[in-house]
Amino acid sequence: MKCTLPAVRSIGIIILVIAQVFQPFAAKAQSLSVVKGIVHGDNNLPLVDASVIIRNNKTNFTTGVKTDSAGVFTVKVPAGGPYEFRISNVGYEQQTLSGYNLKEGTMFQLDVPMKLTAGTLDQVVVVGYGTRKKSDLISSVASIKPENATKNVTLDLGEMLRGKAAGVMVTTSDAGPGGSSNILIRGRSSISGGTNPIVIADGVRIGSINDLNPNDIASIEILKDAAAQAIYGARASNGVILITTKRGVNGKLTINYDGYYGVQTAKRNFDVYSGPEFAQLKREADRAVNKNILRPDAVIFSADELAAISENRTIDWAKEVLRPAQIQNHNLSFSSGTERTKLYVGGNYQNMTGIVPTTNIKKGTLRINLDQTLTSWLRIGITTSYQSSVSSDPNVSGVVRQIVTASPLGNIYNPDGSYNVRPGGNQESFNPLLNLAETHNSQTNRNDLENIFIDISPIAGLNNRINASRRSWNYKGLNYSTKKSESGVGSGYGSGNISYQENVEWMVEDIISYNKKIQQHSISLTAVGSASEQDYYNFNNSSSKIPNDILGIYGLESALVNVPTIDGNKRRLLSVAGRAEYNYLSKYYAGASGRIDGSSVFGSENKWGYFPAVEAGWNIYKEPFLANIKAISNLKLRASYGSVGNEAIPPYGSLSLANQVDYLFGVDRISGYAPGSKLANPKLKWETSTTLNLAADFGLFNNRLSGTVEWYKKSTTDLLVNRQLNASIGYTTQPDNIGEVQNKGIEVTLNAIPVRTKELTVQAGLMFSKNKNSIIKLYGDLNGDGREDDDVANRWFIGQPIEVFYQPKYLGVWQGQEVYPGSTFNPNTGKWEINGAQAPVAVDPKTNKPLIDPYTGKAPIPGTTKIEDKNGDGKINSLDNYLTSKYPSWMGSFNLSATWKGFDFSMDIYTVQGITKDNQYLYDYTAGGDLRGNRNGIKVNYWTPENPAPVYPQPNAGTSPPGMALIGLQDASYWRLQNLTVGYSLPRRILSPLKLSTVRVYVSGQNLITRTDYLSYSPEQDLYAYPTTINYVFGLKIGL
Amino acid sequence: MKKVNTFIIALLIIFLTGSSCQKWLKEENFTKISSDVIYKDEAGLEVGLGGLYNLQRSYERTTDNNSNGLTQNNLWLYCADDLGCTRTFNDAQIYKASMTPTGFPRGKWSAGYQLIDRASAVISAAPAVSFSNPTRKNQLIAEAKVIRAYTYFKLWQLYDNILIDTIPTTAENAFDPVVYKPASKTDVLNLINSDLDFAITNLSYLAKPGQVNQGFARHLRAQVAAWQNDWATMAAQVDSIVASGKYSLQPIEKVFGQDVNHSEAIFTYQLDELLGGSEALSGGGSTILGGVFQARYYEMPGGHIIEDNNYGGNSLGWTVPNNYLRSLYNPDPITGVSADKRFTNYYYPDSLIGNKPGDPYYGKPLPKSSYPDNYRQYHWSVMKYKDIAKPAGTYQSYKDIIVCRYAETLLLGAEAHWRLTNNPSDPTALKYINMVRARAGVPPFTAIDQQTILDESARELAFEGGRWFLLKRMGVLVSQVNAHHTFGSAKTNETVYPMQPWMVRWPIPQDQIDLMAPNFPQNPGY
Repeated sequence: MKCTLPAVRSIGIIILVIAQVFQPFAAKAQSLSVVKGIVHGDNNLPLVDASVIIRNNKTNFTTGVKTDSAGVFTVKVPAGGPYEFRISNVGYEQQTLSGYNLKEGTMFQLDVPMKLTAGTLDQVVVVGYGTRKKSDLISSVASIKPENATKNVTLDLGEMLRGKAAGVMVTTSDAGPGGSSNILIRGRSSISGGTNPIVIADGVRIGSINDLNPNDIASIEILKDAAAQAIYGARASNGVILITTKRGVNGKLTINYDGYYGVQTAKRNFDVYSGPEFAQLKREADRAVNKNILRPDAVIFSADELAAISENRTIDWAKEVLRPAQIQNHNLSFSSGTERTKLYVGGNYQNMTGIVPTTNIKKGTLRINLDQTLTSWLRIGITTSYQSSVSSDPNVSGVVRQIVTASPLGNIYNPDGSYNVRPGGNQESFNPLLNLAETHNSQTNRNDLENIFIDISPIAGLNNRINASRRSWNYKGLNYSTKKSESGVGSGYGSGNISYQENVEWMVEDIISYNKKIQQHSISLTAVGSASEQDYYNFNNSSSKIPNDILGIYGLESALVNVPTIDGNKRRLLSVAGRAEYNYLSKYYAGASGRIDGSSVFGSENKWGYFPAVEAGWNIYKEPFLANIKAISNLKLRASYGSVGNEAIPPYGSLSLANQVDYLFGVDRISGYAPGSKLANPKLKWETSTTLNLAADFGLFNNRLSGTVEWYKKSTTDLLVNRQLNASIGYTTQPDNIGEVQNKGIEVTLNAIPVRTKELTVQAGLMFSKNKNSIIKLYGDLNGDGREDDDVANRWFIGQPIEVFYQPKYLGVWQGQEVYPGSTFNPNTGKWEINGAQAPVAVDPKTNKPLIDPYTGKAPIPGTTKIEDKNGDGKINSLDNYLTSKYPSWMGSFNLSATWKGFDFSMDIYTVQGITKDNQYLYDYTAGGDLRGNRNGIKVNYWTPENPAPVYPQPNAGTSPPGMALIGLQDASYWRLQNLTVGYSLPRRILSPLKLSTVRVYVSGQNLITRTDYLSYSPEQDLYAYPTTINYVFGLKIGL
Repeated sequence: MKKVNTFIIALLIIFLTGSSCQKWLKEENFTKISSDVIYKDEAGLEVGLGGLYNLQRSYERTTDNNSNGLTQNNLWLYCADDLGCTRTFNDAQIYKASMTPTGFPRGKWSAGYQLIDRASAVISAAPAVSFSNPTRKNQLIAEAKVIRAYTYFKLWQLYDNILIDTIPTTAENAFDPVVYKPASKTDVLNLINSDLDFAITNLSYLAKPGQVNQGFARHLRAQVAAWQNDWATMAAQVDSIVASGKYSLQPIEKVFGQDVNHSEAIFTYQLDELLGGSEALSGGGSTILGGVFQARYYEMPGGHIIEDNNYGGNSLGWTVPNNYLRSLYNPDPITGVSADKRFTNYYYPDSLIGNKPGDPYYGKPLPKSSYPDNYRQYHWSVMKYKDIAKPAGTYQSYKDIIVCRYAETLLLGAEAHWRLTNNPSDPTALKYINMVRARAGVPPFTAIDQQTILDESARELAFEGGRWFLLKRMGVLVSQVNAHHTFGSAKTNETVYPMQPWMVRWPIPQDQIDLMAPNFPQNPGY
């Protein structure tokens, strides 16, 4: 018994052996009995789609069926007994009828009335390697209803989760076609390790959350505390997202179509300078470098610019480049099942064009989920997903920026109709339309997943699942810039690159679970053994000097320069996990879980990590002393404590490797290798997060008002950090385990049903989360001053969040009167004068000497930036810096939904408050914020001698006003009306004759209103990212 | 049923005994080589040396890749002496608000030690390795030693207070306790000299373009001797180079011609577009030197000039030669042209000829209104890095760069002999300096002093990156810079900005001071 792996691989053999052992128990051909039943719901109406599970407690024969549109189910089962019937439906209390013996060849009739549930307590929640009833759940698991998520008009599943669970922060990184978002659960806990949660779909880790078709999802669960996560051990510290896809159900054939079509637009909350305004900016910028004397236009402007000025022309680049885009999403699913075979097939087609021309994506997904019962104790299931997409996104962030920075003065086209490369004649201001026309990009992605599982349940309550999967991701990327593109204009040649990537991940798992109820005691045990491997390859060929554009990138064979690079890695994980849970009377709960993981990416002596967790819960409302208080329908206290790990670092961190670095002697190539600047760390190990989670769930007034309050404290130690080394040893960084980071926070979720009548139901939900992130410890106290040391170079400070701004405060602009009191500005001399003579510099009342600008160390110049000298030492240095967190102080969301007759309405509002961002549009050279007049930019009220503006300094053609970079910090808090949907479903009396079960039409708007002071296209995004759009769609849903 | 349970238990045991799978979890990289391969045998050391050449070229890079601020550090040295007028890019770092331990780019400090460490690894591993040709072994060590010495020399000249560490770093010894203390000048220069002396013994003058050779080792040795006031050694090293007969002054138009691998070049950086594209490739990254010192004529009002390599093509115009440098050529007050051949061969002409086909001024001198007072568009510009082979639409060039040339050796020799004999008319000194003058077509000197040497050096070697060190060595850096270096984008705003006396040393990066606490001091003044 050397290794788990061969053992896992030999599982197939074991199955065969077990199958032999169980041969005597295999189901024999039996005589049948028919069961027919009707299920009644609220107001004694037939209940459609209710699920009925029929189980013979002796033989373990189990089958399931759903009620039809008349609330009726019919099923044939082997005669015998005793049989148990479990009838369930969302929103109703589960009914269990047991002790029925069925005679051969007879029909057995049932009439089942169902009671509306008080709330959602009986909802089934998926946890790691199992499911729990919500009322039995002790750990912190947020369930998101897929129908709430898919309401959002976006093709990004990450974006759909925004505002849907407390403590989950979703930031859109790229809102363009094929874009994705970052998901951060309960704050950032790692400095250099990854921060993305792992996504597990049907028990298999998938690459990206967008590998799934959102319409195939049956449930989404987010595991937030250590007790929930520990069973995923070393990969869980950033949280776990569990997704379960739909599967076929017995006895019912359903076909559903759901699709929408709509338009998207982008909106920015700032203006750029128009042609005449930009001309004025350039004049002022030129004036500043010419002793404040305005000069004639002829020496300032190019010929193209002069023509535009005289004709009063403006190029509105946003109008020229951006266009309304379309978005469409079509989904068709099919589901059917018999006693033994259940099938779900889901197909999805998405097509989206971007607001930037030439950007688009077409994506198709097909899922086939099959379940087959072989014998009473053996079941096999297959889960497959195939996805492929083709998209185009040629350097769009550059274009989004160029829309702001391209000169409004000049000509888009040359007289011959071709694009004018530099519309204003200025080198920095490039024509964005040219690159869009002359660069080509195509990306092809293919995602395949095959997963087979076998369930062996030899005795009641015991199940052994063997789960094997293979997932592959293939990528092909083609980029080409023609001879006329920005790079082509420079080099005179076409250039581009072609790249192929392949990622294969396979996993074998064995999961043994055992559930037993002995009188009032319930026990649940789970054991897991798992092995997985990921192989990654990337081949890229960059070609330049391609002599002609005929073949595009496929002309690389004729390129004068081809630079191939190849890259690859492999990572492996070997794990054993277990969990034991106990409850008494569904009142007192206790549990323990843990996982041992061995990961290849760590140092040879530190491959293995152990992650345990414990939990306890108490359903107080079931205690006699609360039973009399009718208002309280639920009250539960929960606590958990445990640790999980993070292994999200690139492979090879513990190995000393050399880079290929070649040289040239005349015409002879010299092969060279040298170790890079990163020092290997053979002792590299896990990062460990330990979380204490305390929570209370409550329900009032028959759960018309319910909610959860959670408090957590998560300490992450042995942080994976690329620490800085003293460079004199010849290396500058090393991956290492140091220090400690803490995340502390509170999450509140409230749900209310203020109105519930026969015709009108109104629901409202509120979510609030607040997280405080701070670095507790880094390298220790190396300099011996009795305090933990900061890492200033990396901007890591003890007691502060991981990401901070560290800079002095921007105060505004030195004013003429402040520097030269009592003077007036003379535009002819460009000087501040008193009675025709240069005014003297004001005296600093503190020193009684002439004023000194601490930033420059010289007399202040009116119109230049004023920086706060915090400590008053007359200099601006690191002692004057302020620390400002980059994280929000709180986030929240509010949703309201209502149904009235056939109409439905819903609305989501999302907010992020107390967040500061650095807006480079306000100062950066490449973003046109530096007021030099080289590029256009955000329109601001800048200072001129005649206009003593308080905030933005005097434009300067020579150099960006010193200190201007400090202007960028802005409050980026925002409120957003994220989604508004109104729908109408046709009544049954119209549908029944048509043999349809549902027809719903709806209109929906996404990101309709955003309120923020942050000047941008979208406040939560990086400045140059593809902007979030406002979408309007019309949708149709048909069910059979 | 018992049988069943036995099987279940067996399964459990299998999974719970996973801890002996170290082998399956062992990591190996299949696309990169392991570091220890380099220092093991002859083939490994050869590629290790190849790597050193690459790192050395990267260390001195002047490319668009400014990672670690290395390009900025290197351009700074071209732009911060007494001969330039800086418009943008580096201006805040040159003696201004950003010349601080936190604001100043830090690549030169950290990448220097990296290069030294890799050189030390080759130097210390080689003696124990057997070579098929023992001469090659010493030659290989010698090449690595020149690279190490050159790097130490540069670091010391920039920072004064540096560390010496000749033991290669490994993951095992990286955190051995060390007291970080600046090395003494004697220790630093002794180490450099011993490396160079070994190289002089073991290297020949014959080398491929881009390869270090005895001439370069001796040139460096002469420069180090100058810092030690060891005029005899300085003179002797130059005399040896001259006596070798391997080098000669080129005709003036060929010095910075398209091919700089000529007999005047002692050491060069080799670049090649077809083999390059980035620092790691054999052809290297493209240099932007040509663009940096060249105004953008094609942006001049009127649009009579288009991007054309005869006028430098696409360009940047960040720093241009200033009026002080111009005055050193004694241009004719009326025509503005100097008889010094260097004035017309090292710089673009002031008057431009229209080159836009179809333009009324095509082939004709431009009208007066075309010349703006805007240094970005128009200024007297440096032609030393002119590359007619590059595409006109880019400022990126793959022309080889001269690091050290014979003319500089001769000027060093002139200074050495003059200082050695303390005779302003020392015949050898005059012979050397007048070789350079004769080539430029200007009359010979009959007597020299420090100022004449400095001025001749300016005329011959301006914008080649060495003058800042020369001024510093002679102790006139602050006075020269404060008298002549300017900032500005137009005549109307060109000004001198005072250099503070402590700025003769670069600030040591603050994060490194923090990491070397508490014994390693910041350079005074910062």
